Amino acid sequence: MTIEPKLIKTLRDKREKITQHIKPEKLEAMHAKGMLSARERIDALFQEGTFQELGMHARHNAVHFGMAGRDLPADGVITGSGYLGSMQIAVFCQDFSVLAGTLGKMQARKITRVMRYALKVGIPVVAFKDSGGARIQEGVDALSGYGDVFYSNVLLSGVVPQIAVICGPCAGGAAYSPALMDFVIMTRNNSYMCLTGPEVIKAVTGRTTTMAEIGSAEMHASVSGNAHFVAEDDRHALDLVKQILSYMPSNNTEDPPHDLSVPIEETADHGIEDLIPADPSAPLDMYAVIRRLVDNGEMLEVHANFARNIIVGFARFSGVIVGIVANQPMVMAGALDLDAADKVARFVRTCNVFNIPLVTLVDVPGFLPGVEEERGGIIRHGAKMLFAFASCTTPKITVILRKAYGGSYLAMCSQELGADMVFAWPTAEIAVMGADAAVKMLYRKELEKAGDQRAARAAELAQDYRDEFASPYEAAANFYITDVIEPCETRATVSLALRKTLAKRELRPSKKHGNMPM
Amino acid sequence: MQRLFKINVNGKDYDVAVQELTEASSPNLPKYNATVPAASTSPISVAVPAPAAKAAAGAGDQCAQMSGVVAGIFVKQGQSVNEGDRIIELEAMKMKVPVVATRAGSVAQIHVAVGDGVEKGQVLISLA
Repeated sequence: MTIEPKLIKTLRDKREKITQHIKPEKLEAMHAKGMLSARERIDALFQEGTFQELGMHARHNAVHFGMAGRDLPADGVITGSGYLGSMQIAVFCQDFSVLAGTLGKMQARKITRVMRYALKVGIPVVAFKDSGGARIQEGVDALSGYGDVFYSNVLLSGVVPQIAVICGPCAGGAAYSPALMDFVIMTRNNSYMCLTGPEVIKAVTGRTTTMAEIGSAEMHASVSGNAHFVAEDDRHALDLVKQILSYMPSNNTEDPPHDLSVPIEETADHGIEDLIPADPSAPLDMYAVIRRLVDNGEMLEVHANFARNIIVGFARFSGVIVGIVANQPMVMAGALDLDAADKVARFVRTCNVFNIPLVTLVDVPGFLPGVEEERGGIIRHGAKMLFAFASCTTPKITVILRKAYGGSYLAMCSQELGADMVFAWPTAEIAVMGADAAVKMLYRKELEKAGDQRAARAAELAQDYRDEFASPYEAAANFYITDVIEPCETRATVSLALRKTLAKRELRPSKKHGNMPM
Repeated sequence: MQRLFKINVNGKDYDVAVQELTEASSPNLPKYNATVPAASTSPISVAVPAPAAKAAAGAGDQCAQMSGVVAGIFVKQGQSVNEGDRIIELEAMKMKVPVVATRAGSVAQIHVAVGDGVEKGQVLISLA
């Protein structure tokens, strides 16, 4: 028997109506702005023919405000999964061309459904956000829908990687869903995120502002820290998604895709020595050091423009995927401040949940002293860093390049905070405080007696202190560090240490969760 | 003592009772005088004020990223600079902290001298 042609035609017509609803001239205008349609984004992400849609024919039940009987293709969100290489990825993509991509109950059901699917099969979720916000016509149903999405975000958090790509508006409650995910990518010119727009701010506070000031990609990537990456356009954003996922496992029970077939080269890299300034007070450029240490000089930097005094990102050491945390002495002397502490804590916890080893590169003069810092809660923020490092159970390798003073030394994943191996360069200065300050406290009486010789005596004592204590050898003698190594050995040493600690399993007392300071 | 008034606002009458408070009749009365700030302004003193210099910064102004002492100035008035050029060096936390030009331009004004202490956000050099 053959199927009745009319049945096939009905299905084909329905499919076409749902997938081909954007007029060509509209599509062209979107392309000119660097935007892709929702379906084009999905096509560009997955290998051809691997995408399977969930709920293409789902439709809303709204009847008020002229919604009865309105046809909304896929209810404004395309959900499903497909393959990127050998990795299956779940996706939901809001479609701004359908009632401005607004979220109602059905859209929320579709989104939470695909997220639960991702949770069940253990695969990452990529979310494309391009929506005018709540579908007001659906009233409290829309609001409830957002709540359902947030709950799912939290359920998936720490189980599968979640990446949000903001391609258009993402305002009001909608902005919280990306904030609950692991990574937020914003497109430079087409996206914005805010809780309340300039009009509301003006009406409530009287202050005139602009969307650029409160919601732009640039602002969120450099000031608020809400965005981890800025993409030039939709295609660049897709490229970033692929790059991020190349460092991620599918879920928290798997290891990231290390390539252990890469040999560890033992050749010494003397070029790295040229990067160390002779003057200990001259800043070292940590980017240059990282480039020499990691495979192909490649690092995917996270939060590149936020708290630039510290660098975090993903890279490989002889095939082993790592998260790098490194001070950047070129910016603010590399001192740790409020934002730097938040940036590190967040990154370290991301690495921990996805079993990514940490390599910490230390050149830190201290926590930044200041009224703003103390009043801003540097104790509370800095504590997040300590908490994150100490609770991280992945392999942790620390290299102390130069300065490592006081609390900031501990905060940069010292042995005490659980580093499995700590290496120090001969240029390392590991001490409780700087020589001048230490001498002032230790020799207070002697210096008082010195009278007009005070300055000279203080300098002499400081030099003695530096020779004796501001070196790696006191810490090494007390076995607070594993070994002192030549800078040229660093890449090989870290690579070997990572291979040896990859199988590490560290068990902690069972509990609901630790109470991380917030 | 209490006195009664009839007040007319936009054609509507209101009966208003007014009580005069004196120190004798109300010992807990807050004293509003020059030495006590009005209640509405007090929360402002809790917030950390933004540095005035930061607020005044214009597009070509090159500001200190942290507090420190000016250790070196590498440009002269009228000199043209490229984005990324090291224009000033601060000393902070016993480290030399480079200040690089955030854009290209010519040096319109140098606001600081070597040895000056500067605050975070303070304008160091204005580029035209």
